[in-house]
Amino acid sequence: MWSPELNNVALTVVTTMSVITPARLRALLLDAWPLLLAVVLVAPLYGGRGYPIARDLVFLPRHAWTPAVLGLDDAPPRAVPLDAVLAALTAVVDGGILARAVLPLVLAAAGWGVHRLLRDCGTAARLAAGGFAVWNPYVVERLTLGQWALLLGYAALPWIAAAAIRWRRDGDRRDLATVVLWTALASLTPTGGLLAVVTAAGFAWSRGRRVVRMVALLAVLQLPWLVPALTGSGMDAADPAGVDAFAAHGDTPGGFVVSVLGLGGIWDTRSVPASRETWLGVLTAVVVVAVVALAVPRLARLWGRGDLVRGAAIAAGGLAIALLSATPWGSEAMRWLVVEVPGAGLLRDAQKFLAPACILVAAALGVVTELLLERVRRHGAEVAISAALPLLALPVLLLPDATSRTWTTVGPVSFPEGLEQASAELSSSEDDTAVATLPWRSYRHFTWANGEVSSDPAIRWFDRTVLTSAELAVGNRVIRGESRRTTELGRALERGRPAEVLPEYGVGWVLVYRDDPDTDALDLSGLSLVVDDPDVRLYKVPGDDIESREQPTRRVVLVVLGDLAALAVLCAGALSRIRRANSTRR
Amino acid sequence: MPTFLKMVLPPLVGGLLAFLVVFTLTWSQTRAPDTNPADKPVLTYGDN
Repeated sequence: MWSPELNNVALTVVTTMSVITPARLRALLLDAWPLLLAVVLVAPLYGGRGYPIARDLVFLPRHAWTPAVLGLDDAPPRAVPLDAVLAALTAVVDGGILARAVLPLVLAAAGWGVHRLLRDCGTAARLAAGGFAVWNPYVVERLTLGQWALLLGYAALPWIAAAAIRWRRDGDRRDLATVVLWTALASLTPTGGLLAVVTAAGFAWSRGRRVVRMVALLAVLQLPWLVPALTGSGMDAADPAGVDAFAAHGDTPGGFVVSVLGLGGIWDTRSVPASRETWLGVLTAVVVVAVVALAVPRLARLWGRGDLVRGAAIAAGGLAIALLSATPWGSEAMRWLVVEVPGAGLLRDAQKFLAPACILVAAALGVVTELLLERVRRHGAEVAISAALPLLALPVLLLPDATSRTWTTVGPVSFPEGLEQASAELSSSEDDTAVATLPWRSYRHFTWANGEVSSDPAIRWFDRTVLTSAELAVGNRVIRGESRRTTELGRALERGRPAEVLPEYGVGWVLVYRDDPDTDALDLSGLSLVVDDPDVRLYKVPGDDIESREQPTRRVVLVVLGDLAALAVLCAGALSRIRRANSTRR
Repeated sequence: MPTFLKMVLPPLVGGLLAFLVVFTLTWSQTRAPDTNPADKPVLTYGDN
């Protein structure tokens, strides 16, 4: 029976249909495909409650504000200013909700950016490019390792490249603002910042002043991690043993060169999907090389020869760093750099610099799809579709078991109540001494987590300095940490009881993880039990004269000034973008 | 056969077959043991 309600529904459907033009539908499809693949890679996030915590991936209900989030501690600022941003965001939004929104968006942003680099190509070409940017060995292996902030840097690259080219050509401030905003996002970690600055400078390179102006602004955005790194007096040089441990690694039957050419080759075998160790890994490398070779002439026409050379040079630079790290003389040179040049430890995990190459390969796959379709289209639409679909599905066909690794990392976990109790106890305490977590180790295996090791959540949970071991065990190797305080504390804990040695290091509290295999061997005599939970115990170290360690005032001032300068550039970029958008609309 | 089916069916069947072949091959070559043979938790940051 026809009714006024049905009439309204029909009217709404007709109105909606008229609004969805073919162009809008195409735009929707182009952005939906990368998002769909991204959601599949992190699907377990939506299957249950909790927070993802595995490997380097840590999302907590609320990240605490501590001096460490600004890099004001004795550790290298590897997650600065990422931790500060997470602390600010989780003060407003629960960390579990944030993870569910941010993780797929970060991955999808890479696909959205890459398909926009191929604006003059057809839908199939752009879909193929966008899909490959999201689902490839590099993204899958880094996501498995939990390095989502590095992937944010990767996702920013195509946006930065496009805006930097426009800034070089037209000098429109709106494009400069776009470069600034994307670089600010990428610079949440030092590696992302480095990749962003190199990409922006490479594409904006010209004889004029524009590139100087742009690089100066982008350099200011690096101050939040650069200043703590340069002013930290409590840090040792990075352990040269880390160069070999974190060098690119063969993850296919073809060895490390084939693995790296196939956009994989991460140092950690646990992050490698099993299919990479079969002939599919070699096939991926063959496809990557073939696609790039076939796409060069058309890419030169699309982007112009100069910009293709710029992009290829940046990609080749990253590829060279990854490949050289695994050669005997390359690794020797890297060891020298790591020991002699402050901050060069950033280069030791060399495979991560494949990011620009991944972007180039994704764009090249789109172009090859376009070329193929041009050839087969005259044989009929059914032949064209038959040819296009396998290319769209190629990323998944080459890496069909990607989720077997990523799902383990992103699976949400419920934290034991004891952590919240311990946090509340520490917050209510008036002293500001540090917490040490025992048994003394850096990455932990929790029985309540999803079976993978993870960074200690207490570091970001408690609103005070939390000390853990900084040593990294990689296979049979142990890589020394850079923080002098934790290195000395670790040695002291080997010699004496915690109650005796901790006060000297400004530690007034001990958190013990009861599910650790070495917990029974701890001598906790002399400590006062404050929180007793089946999973964790919080102890107070006796003594009223334990002094907390303060950072030198000069360092604090410099770090805060660096943060304010970066914030000012970020705000100026955002305001300029908003103002220009408004004036364009008028 | 209607034109629509003529266009859609071959790539769908082809894509499905390709996925099945690749997935079966990968599955058969890479199946992991049900339990950790070392029978103790992994405590390293990574392995290589």
